[in-house]
Amino acid sequence: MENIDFATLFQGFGTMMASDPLLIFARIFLIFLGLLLVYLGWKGVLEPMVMIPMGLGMVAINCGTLMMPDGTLGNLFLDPMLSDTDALMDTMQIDFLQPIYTLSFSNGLIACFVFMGIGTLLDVGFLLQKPFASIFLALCAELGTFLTVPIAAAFGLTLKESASVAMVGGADGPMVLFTSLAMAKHLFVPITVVAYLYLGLTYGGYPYLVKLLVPKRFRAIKMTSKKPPKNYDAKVKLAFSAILCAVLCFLFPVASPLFFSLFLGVAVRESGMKHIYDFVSGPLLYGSTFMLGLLLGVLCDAHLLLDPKILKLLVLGIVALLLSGVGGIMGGYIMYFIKKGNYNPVIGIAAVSCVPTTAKVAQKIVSKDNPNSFILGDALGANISGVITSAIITGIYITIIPYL
Amino acid sequence: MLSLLLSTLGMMGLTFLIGFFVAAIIKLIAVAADSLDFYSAHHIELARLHRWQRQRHRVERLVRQIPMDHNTSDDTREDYSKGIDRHSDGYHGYNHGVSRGFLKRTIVDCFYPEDRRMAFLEEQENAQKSADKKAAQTTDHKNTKH
Repeated sequence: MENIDFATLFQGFGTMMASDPLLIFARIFLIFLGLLLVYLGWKGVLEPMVMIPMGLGMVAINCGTLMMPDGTLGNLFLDPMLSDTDALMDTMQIDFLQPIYTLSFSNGLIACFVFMGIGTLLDVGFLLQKPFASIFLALCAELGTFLTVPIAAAFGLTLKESASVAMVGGADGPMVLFTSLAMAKHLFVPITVVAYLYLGLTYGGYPYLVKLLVPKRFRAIKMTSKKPPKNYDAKVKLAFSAILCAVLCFLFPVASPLFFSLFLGVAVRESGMKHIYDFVSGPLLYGSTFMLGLLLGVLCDAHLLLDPKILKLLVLGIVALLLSGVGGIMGGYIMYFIKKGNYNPVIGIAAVSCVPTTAKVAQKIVSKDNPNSFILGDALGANISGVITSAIITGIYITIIPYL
Repeated sequence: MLSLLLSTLGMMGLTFLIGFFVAAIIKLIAVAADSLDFYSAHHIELARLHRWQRQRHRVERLVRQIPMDHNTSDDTREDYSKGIDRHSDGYHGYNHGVSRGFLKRTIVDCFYPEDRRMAFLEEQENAQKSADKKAAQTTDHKNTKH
């Protein structure tokens, strides 16, 4: 009988023992981080739909590393760095997640699916009621998306990498994925992982930022309106989606898949196609988000953590989100002064386009200080505007950054 | 670095510009929707008014077709107040400003309101009855004499 040692038989341990200590430490750290994400997802602290598959993916990919025939470390999940067509075709027949990754993730299709699903969640009636106020707040809440670009460049990243990581400030996962795929493909995995990790934290983190920056007497402001809120017909909302899609695609053809997906979602919602609406807002959105989480998890192997840029990305991601939150609240204060006190500055935080988390956060904070104050309509208007402005910035970055 | 900061500010400005352009388009859509809504509501209101008017005309026509009691009693003062004298000799039509010459009727026929006319007719009727009674009494008296 051939001499079979423990390391050859159980290759998970074998590869651990054969690796250098830093890689071993990184793998163990990621396994525990994955377990923590599953726990936090289960507890509801982070978004379970993303975090549970992502955490499990992290655990599985770092435990399930094996020795490949050519002597390198590998796995049977996927290889994100393959670009050669023949090798890709071979791997697609072996690695079970490779087809999904190649055909839906690396070309941005999954981001568009998620965006389409988000579109079905948007009631643009709130935006039609107060377009200027909502867009103004959303533009202010993109402060982090802009200021992180020079900060990241000062950290030593290239302009394209800086723009990609700055998009975390837009707090929109699919947008970050799309931008990094278009501009910094080599960094799209860590950037997207960082983005989704932080986006999960907005629900828990932003209330502290709001309480820090907005005193209680401002948080408790109850807005009054002379006119009752107007309900727009479905045909008006449908016209809105068609016209805005045409205008934005015309302005930024490079980001047109995103605009198209978003407004298609809105159109499906408003056109009364019940079965399609049920499909896009249910299986497509949740299925895509789940697969996105799963793929992000299995992309988190130890080499990712050993990338020297990951620490910078972690710092820049949180800076971008913090600056965006601060910008949104500043916008809320500006609106408070413009409206002569008849505006709740907390709405500013809802302009950070994490649909609909930040709008819910804003309403929750305000309700705690004044149960009679209802700001959800305005908050959702700002929230939807945030999605649109993030898409505009994606278009601007992808169009202009290559020329700088 | 300064040039990058300026470029970033430039992109920020461009985003604000496009953002407000988009907001203006959204406002335009909202205003157009409001105007259409107002026009549509106004249109519905007008249609309802037209419908009511048609109904009113129909009812008016129906009412005119119903024969009224006082018309059967040959009361022509309504016509006369409108300048139509159906009793004048030789001419039926509009008579205001035209001398009708000798009238067969009394002033009561022409100008007294209906109740007075009725009172007058009753008075005449009573007078006639009393005259008839008187005549009957005188006849009886003569018969008893014979």
